[in-house]
Amino acid sequence: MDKIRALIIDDESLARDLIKTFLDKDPEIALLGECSDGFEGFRQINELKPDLVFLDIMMPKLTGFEMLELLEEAPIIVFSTAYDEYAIKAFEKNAVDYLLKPYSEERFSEALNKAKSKVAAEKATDHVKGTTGLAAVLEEHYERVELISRIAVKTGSKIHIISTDNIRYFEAMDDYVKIYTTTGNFLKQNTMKYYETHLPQDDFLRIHRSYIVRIKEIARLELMGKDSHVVLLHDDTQLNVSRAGYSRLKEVLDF
Amino acid sequence: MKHPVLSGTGYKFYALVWIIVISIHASVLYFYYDFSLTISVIESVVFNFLFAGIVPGLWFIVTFAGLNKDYLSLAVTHIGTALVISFTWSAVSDYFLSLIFNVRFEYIKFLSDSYIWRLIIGVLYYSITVLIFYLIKYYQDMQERVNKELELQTLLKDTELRMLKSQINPHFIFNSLNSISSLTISKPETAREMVIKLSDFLRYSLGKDNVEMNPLEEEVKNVSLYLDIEKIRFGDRLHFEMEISEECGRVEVPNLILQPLLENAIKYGVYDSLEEVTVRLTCKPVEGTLHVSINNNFDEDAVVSKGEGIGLESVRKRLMLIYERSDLLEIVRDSNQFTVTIKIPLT
Repeated sequence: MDKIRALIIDDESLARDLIKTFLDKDPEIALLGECSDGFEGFRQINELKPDLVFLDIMMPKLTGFEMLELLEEAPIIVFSTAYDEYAIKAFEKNAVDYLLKPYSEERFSEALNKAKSKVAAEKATDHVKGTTGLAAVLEEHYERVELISRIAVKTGSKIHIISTDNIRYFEAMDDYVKIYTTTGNFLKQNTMKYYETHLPQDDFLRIHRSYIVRIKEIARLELMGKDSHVVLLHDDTQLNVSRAGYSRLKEVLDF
Repeated sequence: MKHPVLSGTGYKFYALVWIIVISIHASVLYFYYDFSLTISVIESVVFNFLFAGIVPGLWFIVTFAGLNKDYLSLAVTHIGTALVISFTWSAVSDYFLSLIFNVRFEYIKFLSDSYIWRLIIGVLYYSITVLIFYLIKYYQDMQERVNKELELQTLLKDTELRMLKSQINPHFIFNSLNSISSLTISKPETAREMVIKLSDFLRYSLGKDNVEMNPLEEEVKNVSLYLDIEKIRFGDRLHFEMEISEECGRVEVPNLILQPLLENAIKYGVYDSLEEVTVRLTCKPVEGTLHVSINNNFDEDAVVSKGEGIGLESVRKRLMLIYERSDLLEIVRDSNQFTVTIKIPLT
């Protein structure tokens, strides 16, 4: 039987050492390596295609979650972190388990066994993907939307971290969202709904099915035709405004 | 509520007032009505002494009537009491004086002629007394309110100060414990050392709630423990330098004031950066204040995630509450250097 190929991503060497020690005892595991930040983790996952990744969340530059978002095909993930507040989000990302530092060897073995059976199941059925829907239910139940302050995107093999402060507007493009920033435009696989709910309401506004705009970027609002409007940004970009968007604008800009 | 006559030294002032009234009363009889000195003095003493005995009791009428919010019944109470007291007072004093001077006919005549005036004086005395008592009561109420408000403000300030005091980041503790867990396997010696440092750090940080000020050197010792622990966790990524003269070390600073500043330096310097970071702690006296600076280099490309400045803001607020100055925290950020300076006024 093939060994399970594992990778450790954590910015603390002592934390990596511990996982390594635990994994070394298991003959079914082949440790491919370890990474100390999200950037390297992203590169290694793409290159080595591990079956299983032990992932820390808070790391320099690119958090564990941001790294996951960038991956086209995510391996099986066991989170290992001192932060208990990300558990819901972790299961949203299809994590098999969520280890809270510090954890016992028993607890670690439990997580490892879960991961192993998931790996076996995936190999047998040749990649069954898709969320269980549990995470969505959880999030709705807790109504805990955490606002984002940065977005990780990749162009080719390069990863960019965009601060939301630099974003001018979003445009929907099928499965992607095009992000227009002060330093260039980026494509990101995500939904408009996500950005509508995860950005500060005071700064951004959904003005159309296809547009979310930074309120400060709006220079003018003009009537187009009988019943429709457009906004003009400071650089004269024209964006359509839907009827719902118009009433939202009215409310926010108070006219 | 304090009785203005019976409590404290109020009676002295009260006696003085009546001595003056008695003197005036006697003088009027002696000089204006040409009565003998004996008659003038005795009549004055009898009349006024009796009223002086009644006055302290009026305080209770004022305080209890004060509870009544209905002005009509308040007026009825006072007018009624004024009349009853005046009649009784003049009747009783008349009785005594007629007993004493029963053979002095000119005086007895004067006594009965001036009866209506005595009633009026009784009402006047009553009114003046009640008015003064109302003023005193009002003053006492106001003072009580002011005191209560002051007390409330102190309480509020205390609570706020406690809230602003740095709270140990639980993630730091859990991550440190995880590092210790790892070290017990690879380097038990270092694990032990870290356990001791963590304990010392926690003991200091958790136990210093009651002392508001501590010598800087004590604070520095504590943050050194914190940095030592972080150094074990992050190894080469973190360097620490400090320069604190003995003289500076003796200056009293608010307790745990350095902790959030160093946490901030570590967060943006180490947690969010891949490069090596040097945290530098320096200190120098400048024009009546002690400048304590924490400097760190940071990765200028890093897009910092949320939560920036909450720790620094609470330090600023805390300094403001303690020293009542808003200019005691200074933040300087240039290309890749971040410096926070707190200025401790030297007393």
